[in-house]
Order: sequence, then C-alpha cells, then structure tokens
Amino acid sequence: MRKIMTFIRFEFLKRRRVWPVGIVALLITISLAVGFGVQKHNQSVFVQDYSTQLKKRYPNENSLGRSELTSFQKSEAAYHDWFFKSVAVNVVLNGQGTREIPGFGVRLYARTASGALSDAFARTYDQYRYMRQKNITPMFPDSLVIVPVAGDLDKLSDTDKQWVMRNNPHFYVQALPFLWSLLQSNGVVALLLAFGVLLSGGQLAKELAHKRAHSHWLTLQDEPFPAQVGIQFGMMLTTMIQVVFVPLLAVTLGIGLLFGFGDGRYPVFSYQNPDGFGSKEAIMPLSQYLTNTLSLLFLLTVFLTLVMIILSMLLRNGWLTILGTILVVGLSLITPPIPGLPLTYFHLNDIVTGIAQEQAGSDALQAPAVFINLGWWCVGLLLLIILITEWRRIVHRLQRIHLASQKSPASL
Amino acid sequence: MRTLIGFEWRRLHRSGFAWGLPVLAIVLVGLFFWFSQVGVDQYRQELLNHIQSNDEILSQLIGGYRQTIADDLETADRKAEAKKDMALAVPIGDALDAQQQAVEDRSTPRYLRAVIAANTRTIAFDNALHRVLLQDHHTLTAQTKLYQTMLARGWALEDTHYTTQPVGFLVSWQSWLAQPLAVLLGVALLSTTWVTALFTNNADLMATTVQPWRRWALANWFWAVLSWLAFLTLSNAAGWLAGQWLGTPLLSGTTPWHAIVPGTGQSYWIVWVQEIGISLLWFIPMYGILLLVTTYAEKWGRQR
Amino acid sequence: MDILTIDDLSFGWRKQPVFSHAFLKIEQPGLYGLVAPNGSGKTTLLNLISSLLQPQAGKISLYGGLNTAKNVFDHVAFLQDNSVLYPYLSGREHINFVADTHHIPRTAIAPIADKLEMTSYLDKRVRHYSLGMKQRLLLAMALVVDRPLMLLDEPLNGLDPTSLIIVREALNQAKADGQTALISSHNLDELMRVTRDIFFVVDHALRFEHLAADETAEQRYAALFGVHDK
Repeated sequence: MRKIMTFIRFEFLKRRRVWPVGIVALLITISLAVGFGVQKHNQSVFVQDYSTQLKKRYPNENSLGRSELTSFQKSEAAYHDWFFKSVAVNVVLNGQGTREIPGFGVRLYARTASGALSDAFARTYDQYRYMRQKNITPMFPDSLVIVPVAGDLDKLSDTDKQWVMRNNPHFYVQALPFLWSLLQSNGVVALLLAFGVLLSGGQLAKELAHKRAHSHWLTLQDEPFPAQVGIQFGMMLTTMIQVVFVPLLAVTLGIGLLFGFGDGRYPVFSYQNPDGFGSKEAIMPLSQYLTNTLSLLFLLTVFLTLVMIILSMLLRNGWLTILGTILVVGLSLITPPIPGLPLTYFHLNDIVTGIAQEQAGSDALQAPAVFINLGWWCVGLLLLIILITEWRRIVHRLQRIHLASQKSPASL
Repeated sequence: MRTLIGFEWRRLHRSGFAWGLPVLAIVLVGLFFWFSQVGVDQYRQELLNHIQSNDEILSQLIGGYRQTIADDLETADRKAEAKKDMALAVPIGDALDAQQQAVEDRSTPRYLRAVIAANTRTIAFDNALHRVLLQDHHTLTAQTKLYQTMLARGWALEDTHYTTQPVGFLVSWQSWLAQPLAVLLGVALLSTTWVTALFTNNADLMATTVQPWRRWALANWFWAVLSWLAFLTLSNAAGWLAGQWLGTPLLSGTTPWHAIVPGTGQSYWIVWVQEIGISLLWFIPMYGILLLVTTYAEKWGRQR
Repeated sequence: MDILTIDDLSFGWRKQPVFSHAFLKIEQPGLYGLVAPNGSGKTTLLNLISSLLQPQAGKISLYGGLNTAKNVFDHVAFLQDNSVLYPYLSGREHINFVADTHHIPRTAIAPIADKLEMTSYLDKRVRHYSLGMKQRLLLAMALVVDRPLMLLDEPLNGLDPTSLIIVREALNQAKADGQTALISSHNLDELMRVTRDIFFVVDHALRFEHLAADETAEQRYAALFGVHDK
C-alpha cells in the first residue's frame, strides 16, 4: 500500500510538471461563470426589449392587450400568472382564433399560423399545471416549451421559426437550471471532454514511447506494467474529473450560493415509455435529469479514459493518442442516434430525455438500456486492455511451448 | 530546397503517415457513410411522422365539420359553410394519404406530386377561410416551386444532411471537411511529424543543418498541404465508390451533379468545389500559424 | 550460490537471432565488463537479465532463483540509458522516487550525491543537464538502492575526465563493498582500468575472457572481432 502511494505521488508530481490542471480547471470554471453572466445579461436585455415591444403594440391605455404589459411591469409572479392563463385559454381554444383575441401575448401568437404551435401550447400548459400543483416558480420571463424534435416548428416558415425561437427564450439564471442548460449543449460537453483528453491523453503513451523506456524503468522500481496501466487509468480519470466535473460542480455551487439553487422538481421535457406500449411526452423532475445526465457523463468519461489507454498502447505517441480520442469526441457530434453505438451516447440530453429513443424508434436508446450498454462497452475495452497488457506474456509462453515441442522428439 | 522537400517526404513516409492517412480516410468515410445510411432511414420515418401529424390535425378539423353538419342545433348557413370547408379539406387528406403511400412505395415523383397537391389545396383551403390555419404559405409556395422543378427535371428527393447517393454524400462529407474545427483536427494530425521533431533533439540537427531555418518549415508546410489535398482526394474517392456501390436513394431516382442543392440556389458540383476550396483555404493559413506558433514556442522553451 | 547464471539462452528479434545457446556464470563478486560491437545485444542482454525482455529459450538465475520481477527488484540495480529520465523532473525527484520505492531513507541520497559531485545541480530539471550530468544521475540512482548486483549500461558514456575519475572511484568502492557490477562499455581503455574480467558477445554467444597483465582490452577485441591496426 505504501508503495502504491509512492507510485501515485510520483504520477501526481509528473502531472503537475506537465500541466497545471488546477489552473486549467479554474479557467474553465471562470469561463462557465462568464457564460452564466452572459445569460443574466441577456435576460435583462430581453426583458427590456420585450417591454418596449409590448408598449409599442398596445399604446392605448384602454387596450385589452395591456393586461400582459401591466402584469409584466408589476412583478414576476404576476407575469407567471398571466402567462399561465394565456396558455390555458389557447389550449382550450386549440389554437383557433386566439390570434385575434387581444391581450394574449405578442410573442406567443403573432405571425404564425394559428394552429402551428398547438403542441407547444399543450406541453407548456401541462408543465405549468405541474408547477402550480407543486408550487414551483417558473423561469422568467415565461416562454413556450418548444421541442423541435417533436415537430413543433415543422409548420412554420424559416423566418417564423427563427422569430418563435428568438421570442421564446429560456434564461437559466439559477444554479441547477444553469447546470441543466450546460448539459443540454452537446458542444459544451464535447469541449469539456476535449480539454480533459488534452490534459490526460498523452501521459501513458509517453511512458511507452522510446521502446517503453519510462515504463521499463518503472517496472524495475517494482511497478509492474499492469499496475502502471491501472495507476495511469486512475490518473487520467482523475484529470478528466478535475477538468469536466469540478468546474461544472464548482460553478453550480457558486451560482447556487449567490443566486439560489433553483427547484430540483422543475419540469424537464422527456419521452417516456413506462408501460412499454410506445413512448409519449412526459415530465421529468430536474433533479432526476441532472442525476442521470451526470451519471452518463461519468460513464462516458470512463469510456474515453479506456479508449485513451488503448490508443496509448497501440500508438505509443502522446500527440496521436490525444488527437485520436478528440476525433472520437468530434465524431460523436455528427453521429445520428444509433442503438448500441457509444458515440450516440455523447448526446446526453437526447439520451436522458428519451429524444434519441424517439428519433431512432428504438428502446435500446432508453436511458437504462444505454447505461447497461455503455457499461458493457467499458467491460469490453477493459478486457481488450488486459489482452494487450498480457499479450507479450502470452506470446512468450506460446513461443516457449512451441520450442519445447520442437525439442521433445530429439530428447527422446 | 529540393533536398529538404525530399527529406520531409521521407520523414512523413517512414513515420507511417503515407499509409495511415489513406486508412484514416477510408475509416472516417466508412463511418460517415454508415451514419448517413442510418440518417436516411430516420429521415424517411420523419417524413411519415410529419405526414401523420398533419393528417391528425386535418382529421380533427374534418371531424368538427362533420359534427356541425350533423348537429340539428346548427343553422343552415353554418352547415352549408361547414360542407363547403369540408369539401376543401378532404382533398388535402387525400393528398396526404398519397404522400404516405409514395413514401412507403419509395417513389420520388409520386411523393413530389402529392406534396404539390397538398400544398396547393392547403393554400386554397386557408384562402377560403381567410386566415392561415394549417401551414405558413410562404413555406408552402417555396416548397411547391422547388418540387415542381425537381419533378420536371427528374431529380431525386434527398435529405440535405444525410444521403447515401454519391453526389449528395460527397457534398455533405466535403462540407464537414470545410468546417474550421475539422480542419483544425486535420492540421493537428498532419503536424505530428513536425511537432515531434521540433520538440526533440531532431530540432538541433535541423537547426545546424538547415539555413535559413524557415526552409525546413516551408518544406513541411508543402507536404502538409499536399497531404491534406491527398486526404481530401482519397476520402472523396472512397465516398464516391461507397455511394456508387452501396448508396440508395431516400425514395427513388438519382441526384445529378447539376441538380440544385436545396436552400442554396447552386448546383451540387459548384457547392462541392466551393467546399473543397474553403477547406484548403482554412488549412493553408491554419497550418502556417501552427508552424509559426510552435517554432516560437520551441525557441522560447530553449531559452528557459 | 552463483550471483548470475545464464543457461542456454536463445533470443532473437523476429528472424534475426541475437543470442543462440548462450551461457554465462558469475560466481564471485567484483566488476565485470560486457563488450561487443554495436547492435550485438549488450543492452538486450541486460534487459533479459533484468526480466524486461523474455528469452525464447533458456534460463536466467540470480542468486539461486529465477530472474522474476521480484528477484530482480530485490537483487539488481540497473543503470539504463538516459531516455528513462523525465526531462521535466529534477535529479532529486528521480532519486527520491527510487529511494522511496526501495524503502531506502532519503538521508542516504546526500552522501552519494556528494561522492558523485552532483549536489550543485541535483535540484535542476533534467532537461538542463549535460550528457555527463545525466550519466552521473543515473549512476546515483543505481547506487542509492544498494543492491548486490548492478547492471550498468554504458555508464562511462559522455563523461569528462573528472567525471570518469569520480565514476571509477565509485565503482571501485562498490567492488570493495562486495557488490558485483556488469558494465557494458565501448570505452575499452577506461573499462580496463576498472576490470580485467570481460564478457564478449561473439557469434550470438557469451565468451568470458580474463585479460593477462600485458594484454589490453583493445587487443583482445581486435583478435575476437577481426579489427587490425593499420
């Protein structure tokens, strides 16, 4: 145990000399915090712009439409209330004629074909009812829950699509919602993983370079090759966690302490198939979403670490190992939902919310199935690593057996 | 300079890049082709879902009209109006059924005709109602115009993102290779022999052998650009072969080079050539910047 | 108990044989040379003894047991070439690690560093070391673990006259302390100053030669490998 600690301390010493991981993690945390600041700023800009829009549209003090403006100017709670009623009216009327009813929102109905957003209205209404029942405060300003994958925007022209999306923004200005917004973005996740790979990918490969010079030296210090691989796995995983998870959690904690954590029961759109008779839209509490997403991200981090070890052993070149692993992450960005393929699993949001399952029409992309499948992939990669690690010994044993069998007739 | 170019080629060749690059090109194209096959299947399913969702909305409308017509409490005027509206709505439903049948039978011409019919009837229906109810008219008109052209010229209908037909596949693939991030990865990959030599004792050898030093960088740049060009050529050739042998249309028919890429107004040929140009235009300066940055980093490190 | 025994060793890279039915035996402590032309397998032999490579046939024993990783760790200190050094770590960090893994108190480092006159640069990073400084660091790492058998791969490479004297003294001290060292070298004159017992790799086999008082290592080398003075 003491020896293992010596080896681990030595690896930390080496890593510290190659990469200031702590500083990188801090810089990433600051970048994420800046992202949060931008969200807050965008929120206040939007609120101002929208207020101006409303004033322009309802200049007349007696206009019925001013009810939105009045509630908007009164308080966030008043606006939440107005929004819920407005959505309820539209859902009851099923999109027929609400455009002509004044007082039901500029950005909700204007310009679009009146039935075009009926699914989004129904979904938003369901979420608001859920929030009212559980006494959850909605985001401000309130917006329609638009899910492009569900075909919400299919009936709109390109200009209208942009207009609807621009006018229905969600501002994630508390800790848990902000974490949610980060994990929704495949780009952010891929970038974080790429940074982790950049900082951890080369180490084992460098040990194995130059005819395994460093690796052989460590073997002579009583650190056998399997132990080296194990320790490197731990080091890489630690680095990945420091670069990917620590900034995510640090920024969540910081925002939580300053601006509040938000409600873990907040509704997240998802597809679920509880009875096995086909998936349908459902509500997933934010805490469950975050737990599932972070767990999947952790498993993917383990998967990537194993990929790095295999590439290190095959290529024995730190630079190429890093590039190869980043290529895997990059490919994941353009991978369509394919059941059984881990590249698909990098689309965390699509997997956890069931969107990928819906797109591919396959239950194998349901979150529990993905966890099991990814677990098997990791086991498979681990076996491959063991095979490569033991390969020389296996070959050597076979050679000796072969030579012995050639000798034995003569010795008789 | 010729000696240096020869030397850099031998380094590239001996380091395994000469065979590694074609293998990588084939593997990546193979993966992308597989993704495209899956994407095409999913897009076909999306088409069906879209038709079904339109059909559901329409069925609700028609159901409402039927109720009005059957309701004894409704006035004769409203019943007459409902009958008129229903007469306009029912053909839209027929056109949607025809679309579904065409997708299931994999027939591009029949699908295009059915969409044109549905669009025309939707606009007529909305006009009669004096409001836009089902779908935005600008979108419908633009789509109708495009589909009429495609029908007249016999072009196949394909998804703009995923297609396994050679022409469309090459344009999609090449547009990925023109993305700055993809080029950056290419630059990083092809600079391997440069970076590994620069930060080892090889650099000392080159520093004392090559004067001026920039000639070495230029020779490396020359081969890197040629290698990227080779990668583009090889991967496009592999993509073309994959498309020829294994490509299947979304529904039916083929996409020729002179067909128009939806949303661009330009032919596939022009877009493809443009994307190759963009890819090279990104690669050449990016690699140059990498050479500069690494050279200065090496000099800085040497002084420390 | 024999210190080192190599029995009927065969080893080759793919189809190129390096050793074929080679034998070697060291019974008495002391300093032994290992000499052969470039590419004949000196480093390969040291790697085989230390179990970093596995022979295709034959047996290698150390102090009565097979050369298992455990046995090698317990009995052998191996000075490898300087590619094992991490350029971004200091000399002290290397020696500290070696001392820790061998459970040697760190207080043992200072006398060795003093003896090899490397105290002044021990805390600098290895990337700033000259070849001679690296060689002395490697030797310090081999000496600090205090193992009865030392395998020294080209320890005299790149040393200036002062360093040569320091290293020679360190080796003689090791001999006086009852340690054994197998030293590969191309520097035949210098090697002869520390030992006259030399193993030559000849025709994929190992041949022991004790140099007579009036004989030089270079003469024996010339006789064995067919090199003649002009």
